[in-house]
Amino acid sequence: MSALRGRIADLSPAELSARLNSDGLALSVPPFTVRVRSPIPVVREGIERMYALHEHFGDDEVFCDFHLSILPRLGWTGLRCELDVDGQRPFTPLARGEAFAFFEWGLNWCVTSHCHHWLTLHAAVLERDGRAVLLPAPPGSGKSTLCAWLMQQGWRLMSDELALIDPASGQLSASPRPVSLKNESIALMRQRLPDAVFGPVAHDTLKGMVAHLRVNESSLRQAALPATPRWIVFPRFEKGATLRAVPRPKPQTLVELASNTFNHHVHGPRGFECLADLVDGCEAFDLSYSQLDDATTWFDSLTRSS
Amino acid sequence: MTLEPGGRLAWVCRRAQALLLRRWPEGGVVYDAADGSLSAVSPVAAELIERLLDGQPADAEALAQHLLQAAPEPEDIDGVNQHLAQFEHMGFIERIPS
Repeated sequence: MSALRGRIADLSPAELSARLNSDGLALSVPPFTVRVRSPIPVVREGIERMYALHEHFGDDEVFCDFHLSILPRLGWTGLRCELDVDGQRPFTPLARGEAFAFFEWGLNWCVTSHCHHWLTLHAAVLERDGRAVLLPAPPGSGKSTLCAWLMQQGWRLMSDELALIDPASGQLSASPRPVSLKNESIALMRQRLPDAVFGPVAHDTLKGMVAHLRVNESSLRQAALPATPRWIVFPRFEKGATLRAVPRPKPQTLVELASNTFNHHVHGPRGFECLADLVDGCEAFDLSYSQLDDATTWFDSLTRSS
Repeated sequence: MTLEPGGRLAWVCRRAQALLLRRWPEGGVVYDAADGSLSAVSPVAAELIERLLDGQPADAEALAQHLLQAAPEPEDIDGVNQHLAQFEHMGFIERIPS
């Protein structure tokens, strides 16, 4: 195993470009190592800003879990980019301006398609005092906004997108990466978190406007620490709504959770038992909210009440 | 399978190896390993399924008695029959002559 060589922030823009343009940058994205190649400036910009606190390996050989290249393409409708994953190109090319977001989405795809030693759930995960809250929610529910906000209010961000559950122990592994914000929540977070670092903005994606927010140093430093799932919260942003948290019955929680897994079918009965044990050990709620401060108070009260 | 008109029906689960049930006071979830599907069921349905997962045939009256721990009324048996028809539709059980 090669030694880590320092943080991305320690590389000059020229060094970073040189790595991305040649054999690739071996980037530590706990618990993975990812080799990234791309000559596209917005990819360099995104990595420079979003992964400044992440570490990288030197030029020598290091085992990488995934090799991602974001390649420039010329399409009929303008400049495009294409994602190459370990020699495969599984996706339709996107607009060049989406190249950094494409890297993030591609990395999500790598994890959900290949890492079956975990049960993977489409859910954000936050932790405090060793106990984790899972936020499974469809796009548009305000999950990422809530996640970005709570991370700045003392919760550790374990993941904005993927809960990684060890089927043997039921523990959650962390993979702290940039938080993906969409549309109105980008301006809201810029206003509420003036010190936060944002990545390049991708316009007119299938999800609308997308920008990422850098994970904080505290979350990254604790990336190796697992957590015990304790709460499952299905958040829903409702403009003007008074915060309301309604306990969700366990059977409905389990079915909804299963519908958010990427691979419980791969694990078969063991995957079902793992999910059922997770639900057994958690309190579950449907949470509707409109004010982030109210949500913070409610989430903080969870840790005091049990 | 054809049944004699007026003949009593019993039900049996021959797929107990492929079905997993997790129960809570507010209901349960059945996992079907054949297709990986999950079905949320009511507390009564969960108790019926748990009984049927032992693989022993039973008719609606015996199942109703099992639920109530007392002699069932005709409407109790009707209720059980409705559940059993749903379980059959879901592929959990099949009917056999009693």
